[in-house]
Amino acid sequence: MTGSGLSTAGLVLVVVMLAIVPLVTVVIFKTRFKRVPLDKAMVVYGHYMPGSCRGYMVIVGGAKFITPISEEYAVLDLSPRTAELELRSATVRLNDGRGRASGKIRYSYRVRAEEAVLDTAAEHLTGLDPAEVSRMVEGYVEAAFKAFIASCPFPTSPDERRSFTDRFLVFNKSDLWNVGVGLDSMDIDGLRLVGGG
Amino acid sequence: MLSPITVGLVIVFVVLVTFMPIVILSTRYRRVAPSKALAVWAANGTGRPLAMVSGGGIFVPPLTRRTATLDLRLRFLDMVVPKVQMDKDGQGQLVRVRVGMLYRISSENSTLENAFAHLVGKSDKEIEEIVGGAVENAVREGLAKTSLDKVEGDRDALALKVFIPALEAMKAFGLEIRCAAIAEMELQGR
Repeated sequence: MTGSGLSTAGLVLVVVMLAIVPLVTVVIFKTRFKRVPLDKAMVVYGHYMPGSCRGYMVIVGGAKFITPISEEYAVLDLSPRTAELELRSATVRLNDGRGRASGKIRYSYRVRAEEAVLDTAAEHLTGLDPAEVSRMVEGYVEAAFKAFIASCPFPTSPDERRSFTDRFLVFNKSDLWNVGVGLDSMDIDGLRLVGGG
Repeated sequence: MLSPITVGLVIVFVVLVTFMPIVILSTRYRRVAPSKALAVWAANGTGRPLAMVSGGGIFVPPLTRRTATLDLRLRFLDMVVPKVQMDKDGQGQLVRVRVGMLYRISSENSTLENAFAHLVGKSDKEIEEIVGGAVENAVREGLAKTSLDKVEGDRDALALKVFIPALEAMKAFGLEIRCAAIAEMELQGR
């Protein structure tokens, strides 16, 4: 091999490198730059984040380049969900003792987007399937509602029902915010007293 | 002038020197989600971990360290405790109690150490059995000296009476209650 042969090989190598480096950079940037819609939260973790004393950050409505090797991400679904709770002969408190009530209660909830609650949601819900989150939240709301309706006077008029649901939403707020979820609304129109108390 | 073989070797060497640290770093740098925890011990060490990370990352040197991971995600317990003995005017009464509870492995450092000591390698079912045992004991002890009439109207006070002892028992295993409610209390025949 002569000197000119080596320089040709070197030249080819340089040209290949010059072609590959920008291409790889573009591919990496395209695959690692993540945009987050407003109904999702992106939990980025892997090292202490700038301006934070924690090793993760949560982004809602924005975008971030996920640094290869040192960062990873997961997505939380913030979209509102509705659920129906069917009470069958649940114990209720009446003015003159105990009774039974049946009916359907509709409510809506979601993973909260407020900054402090969102961190709690990231710690409790990251990596969970949205259906699994729904199963747990709805299971707990059922238990909490049954406990509440057994302790508070049974609502009979529309005004009482409104005040009853407002109190339940406030009562449950601190509970569910402990896991990063909040109830938005509740409708208990279908609830009625039944025999068997 | 260098021979083509030498040039090839130099290129291979340069590529290895450049990429090996990247490969080592990418395989040994552990990123830990906020809903997980990673503990690092010396390879032959036991007892307290050298480091615990939840929501962050850590470089784990090869060969000299061992690690374990715990899942801190939220869990739900829907449990019926049958035949709970309660006291009604000196006469016993049996009650069926249903509890709904959200709990998880705690991320707080001192409690997390307990979790790494007790829960590493345990399945979700085994963890649920530990929680179920703690809740059942707390329900039976909390209700033993009161009657259904006295406590049924104030489930909140009753929940405190039951879930604080349950929380203490669970803490020893590195678990914490996030929210809990006594959903149902029904008289049961003997």
